[in-house]
Amino acid sequence: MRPDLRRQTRLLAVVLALLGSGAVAQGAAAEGPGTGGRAIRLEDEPAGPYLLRVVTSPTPPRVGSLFLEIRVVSAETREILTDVEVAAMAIPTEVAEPAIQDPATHDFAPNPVEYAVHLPVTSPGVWEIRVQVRGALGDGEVSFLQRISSSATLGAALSLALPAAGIVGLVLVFLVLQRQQPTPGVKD
Amino acid sequence: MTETLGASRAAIYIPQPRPDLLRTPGLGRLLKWRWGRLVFQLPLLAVAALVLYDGFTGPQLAPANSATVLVWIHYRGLVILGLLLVGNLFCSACPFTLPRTLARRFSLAGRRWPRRLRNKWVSLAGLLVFFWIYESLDLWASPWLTAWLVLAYFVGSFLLEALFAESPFCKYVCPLGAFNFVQSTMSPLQITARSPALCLDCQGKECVRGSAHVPGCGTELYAPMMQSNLDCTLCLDCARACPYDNVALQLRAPLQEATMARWPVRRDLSMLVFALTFMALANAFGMVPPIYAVQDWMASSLGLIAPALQLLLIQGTLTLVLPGLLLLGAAWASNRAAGGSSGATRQAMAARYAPTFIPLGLGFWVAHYGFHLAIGGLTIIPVLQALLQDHGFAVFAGRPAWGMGALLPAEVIFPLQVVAVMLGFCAALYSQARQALRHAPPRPALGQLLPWALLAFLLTLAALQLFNLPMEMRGTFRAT
Repeated sequence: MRPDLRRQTRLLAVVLALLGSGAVAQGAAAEGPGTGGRAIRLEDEPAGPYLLRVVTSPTPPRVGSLFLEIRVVSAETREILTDVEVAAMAIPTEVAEPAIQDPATHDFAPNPVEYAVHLPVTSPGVWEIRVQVRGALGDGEVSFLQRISSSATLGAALSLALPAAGIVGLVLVFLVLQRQQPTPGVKD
Repeated sequence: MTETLGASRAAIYIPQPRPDLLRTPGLGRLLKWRWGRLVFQLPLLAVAALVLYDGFTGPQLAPANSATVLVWIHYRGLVILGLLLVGNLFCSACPFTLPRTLARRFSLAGRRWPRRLRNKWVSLAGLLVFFWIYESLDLWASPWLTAWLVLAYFVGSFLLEALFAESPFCKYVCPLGAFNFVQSTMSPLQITARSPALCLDCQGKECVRGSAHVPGCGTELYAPMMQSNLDCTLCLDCARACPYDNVALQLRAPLQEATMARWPVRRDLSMLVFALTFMALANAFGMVPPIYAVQDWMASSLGLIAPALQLLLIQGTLTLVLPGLLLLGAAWASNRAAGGSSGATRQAMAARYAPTFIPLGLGFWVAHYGFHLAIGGLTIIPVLQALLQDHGFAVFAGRPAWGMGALLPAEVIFPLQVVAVMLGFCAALYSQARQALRHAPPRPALGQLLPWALLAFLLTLAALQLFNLPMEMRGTFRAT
């Protein structure tokens, strides 16, 4: 490689490494969601005369977005029950906010024999999730703790600023390189 | 191949002396051992068998079945990290090639893969079909379909190897292979010849043609001419076959290939590497809420109601039409900005800059697949516990710990995604600058690279916006 090309590329590498480390620092300071698919929280969990499977999504659940899918099985016959009443309640454990309660229905469950409910949890932190079942066999209840992530994101301004800084840095480097170029026609 | 092997001295690639993994005590010997590849393939074959068994017979709930957890969480995450940190590890230990070794016995006397298909268009189409099937059938949510996919891979590999003499499945068909080949151009290891001069005098060319006991390179790469990891499955058959122990697995500088002087000027190759960056975004786009709005718009404005057709149109536009137009447009603008001083055609310009998008795409893939691995990597523990329990091994398994899931705390995952995207962006800009400065002084070089840099900027912006959104995982809930 020619020495001037090597010098130019080293300078470029330094600037881009600085930009990269800036992005690392910015990224580390940012809070973000990152969500994914389902997670099984309870499997064959006894709740009175029932066994419950509870699946949460997305993973991790975020403020405003906690879905539960609930399958109810008779503990005695292992038969899946579709004619019971299912309700879910989310109770904040870290802040003084009212609990959220909603019935779970078959309407939007991916599996029609199961129950699903959307709980619009209002703050990040640990929430107690209670699932109550009422039916001909009797009543049952289970609960578990669920951490809810913040819904804060990188933000539109920062999302724009980070890559824009890269382009500006690139142009500046080329301007510096241009100035370092020997002027044509000047001889030593 | 004849032309390749008969190449002149000028075509021989002389690499810089760097550490050689095949000279590492113990590891080097294991890798070069005749059955060395099998040692790595057998565990993956066992995993594939588990995926087939559990996928077909186990619980049909994605997070409770090892087929979906292993394939869509672990395979994808580990493959992309392996490519970034080591090399094409999956192809190296690919279990699909084991039955095909058997298929080779049925090979019909050296029939060659059709000349018209000896390019990357087939694998590009395969990638489009793969991602379309993935989205439209919600493969990630179906253990049964995931098992069918793995089975189709075994059958496809077996059939093509039985019908053709070389390894057309790996080189020209396999979408996973195409993905791995492209991303492995960013990997820190590469096959080279220790002494290229020795290869010039070699009569047997066993590294390609094979020896009495070891097959030659399945994808017909000639070690002393290799400047790229493209098409290299890292099977190390070349190293095992070479009678002079002249094949090395060398460490190399990061971004060596993205900044290298000459990539082949081939439309198929430029399009493949460029489109894969868009596929990274399209694949993530299929999981976030705005896709519902796009599908609704297609239904109301275009009358397109079938979700599979909607997704085909979305995927086709985002991964073929858009990158094709942008590749042409950027090459045109770049050529125009260079004022014709570059002396390069538009196609040559596209071939020069398309590979600089590989690090950008790699950043997107790491951010996406790394996220799934980080958020669900430990899910496999309760899944395997439940599997053992279901088969009467409760004593060894214990009660499934369904609370296990994340490998990393949720709050650090998003910042890491941002870091991956931004490092990919910086690496792309650096590669573009190196390419530009290689061909022109700073001022015209800047003009030449700006269209590409702006494109990288827009893609990065789109990626950051996309990863800002919650991944709702379409199909998780039935629409009311």
